[in-house]
Amino acid sequence: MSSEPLIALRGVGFSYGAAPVLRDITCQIAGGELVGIIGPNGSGKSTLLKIVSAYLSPNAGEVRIAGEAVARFSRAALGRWIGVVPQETAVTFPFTVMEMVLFGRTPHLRGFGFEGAADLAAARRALERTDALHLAARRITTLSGGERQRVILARALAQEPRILLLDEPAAFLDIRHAVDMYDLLRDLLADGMTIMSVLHDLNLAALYCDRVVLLDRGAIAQVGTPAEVMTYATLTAVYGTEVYVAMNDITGALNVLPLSRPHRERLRAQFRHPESTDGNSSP
Amino acid sequence: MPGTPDAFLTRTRFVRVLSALALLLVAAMLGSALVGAEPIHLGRALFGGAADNLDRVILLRIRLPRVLLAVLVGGAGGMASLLLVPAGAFAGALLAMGLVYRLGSVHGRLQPYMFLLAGVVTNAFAGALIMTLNAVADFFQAQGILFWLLGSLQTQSYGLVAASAVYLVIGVLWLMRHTRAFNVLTLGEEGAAQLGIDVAQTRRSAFVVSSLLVGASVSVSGMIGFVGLIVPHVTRLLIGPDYRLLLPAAVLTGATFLLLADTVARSAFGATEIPVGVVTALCGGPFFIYLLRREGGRGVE
Repeated sequence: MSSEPLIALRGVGFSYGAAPVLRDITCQIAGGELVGIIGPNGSGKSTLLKIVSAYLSPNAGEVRIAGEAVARFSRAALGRWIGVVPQETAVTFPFTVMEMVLFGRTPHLRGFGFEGAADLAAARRALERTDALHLAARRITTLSGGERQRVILARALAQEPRILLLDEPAAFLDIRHAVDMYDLLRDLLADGMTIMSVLHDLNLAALYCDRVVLLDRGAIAQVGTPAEVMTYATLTAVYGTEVYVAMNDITGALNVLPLSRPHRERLRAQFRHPESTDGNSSP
Repeated sequence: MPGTPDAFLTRTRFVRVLSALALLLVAAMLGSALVGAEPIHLGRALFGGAADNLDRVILLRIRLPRVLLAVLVGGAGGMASLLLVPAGAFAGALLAMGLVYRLGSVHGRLQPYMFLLAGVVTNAFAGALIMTLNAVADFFQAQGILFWLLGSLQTQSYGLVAASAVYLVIGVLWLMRHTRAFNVLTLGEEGAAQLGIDVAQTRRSAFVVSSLLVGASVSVSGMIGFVGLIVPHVTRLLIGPDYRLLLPAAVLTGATFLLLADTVARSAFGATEIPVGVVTALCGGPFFIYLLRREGGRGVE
């Protein structure tokens, strides 16, 4: 990839009314990266994503895509650059899967008209990529959660964007569908896609992300590889609860597990009297 | 869902569905023009001599303008209500429209729930004003208000028909340009914006045009209820939710429905005419209950 970052945030600040949500966010994302956004509830993860997609405009600072300020893009141009997969999609009307995926062609089309051969080909490719082509004639209202999320991802891919933004795409998926989703995202990276994803699940973040941005009360606590950022000391401080962090022998990625109160209290006692510390090592 | 749906809207399906509905409408227009308190003979009306041709006078002066007006009002009603807009009379429409828009907006954005509530409240307020007028009006004026409130397509001129036609045609063409955006808007404001739609501008367009259409049709025909309730639901059930087809289809089904209702209204009781709004309400009331029960049973998603 070129030396210029594909996505650059500089001093981004945002507030809903008087309450500040994001403060002085500066980070850069190179083309072809999968970057996870992690942090406690209310730390501003989803808001950050909405600012990158230009749905919300920051009160301070700016977002640049390929060197150009997003504020200067038209809505349709943004739709051709960025595909968004929300956490959950409201399906009010029984559109077919094919119709839903063809919605992804909207930024490429104008006014009234029917989709052309190129649009249909893009929609089919996207459905094939997410292994959902067999669902094409089904009504979106009849799909399971996992199937629906694959269709929504296909819709984003039908936009033929260079950047994908995902807000906890696996939040409502079981463990198999969750890993299927992230395996697919890794495949997309190989095709040149750049991906930012909000994740609640720290294990998935450690397993799949090239880098993570850890947010704490609207500011960046740390940016780096999962191994650099997701340490016992950092996670415990930011999330406000002791966690168990260890290396997974099979994946070589970190595992992060919650601890119940008796364990947390024992751990705290050990750190006050460090002679009996074992296992959970602090760097 | 009846039959197997096409996976997406093609030009062939678009043309086929609209042709079928248009054919149905033309058949209904022809039938309606021949039905009435006074039976007429189509051949004599069209090809009989000009002198003393009572059939021709009835057809061209009484039946035809009324048929056309029913088509226009029904078409406008079927379409405008598809875009979920509360009605108001034309003179008041602009005022009510502005009021509802302002009340329904928070931070300059149209909020669906606020919008709906603002519509209901404005409607109740306007209703109170109408009742006040009714109370102070004399007997004959009150009779006129009653017919207007119940909705009627009686004694209309070609001038009015032409004016309504201009409104409807411009409105339909204007809205057709936005039908793709309406489709995407069903995904919600954020989803639509991320697919390149200017949400605020699309909402404004839909709101202004459909309010004007409803206002125009209410001012010529009175409050004909339930057309907007039955037509969009049934049409959507029959042909699916794609607005590109749904919008013109609702114009045709709305026109057909109101035409049939008006034909019943002016011929079912011999020479005595009942307001067409009574007929539509008698169809619409039970249908509304059916919809409520069905939605209630399914639960809100």
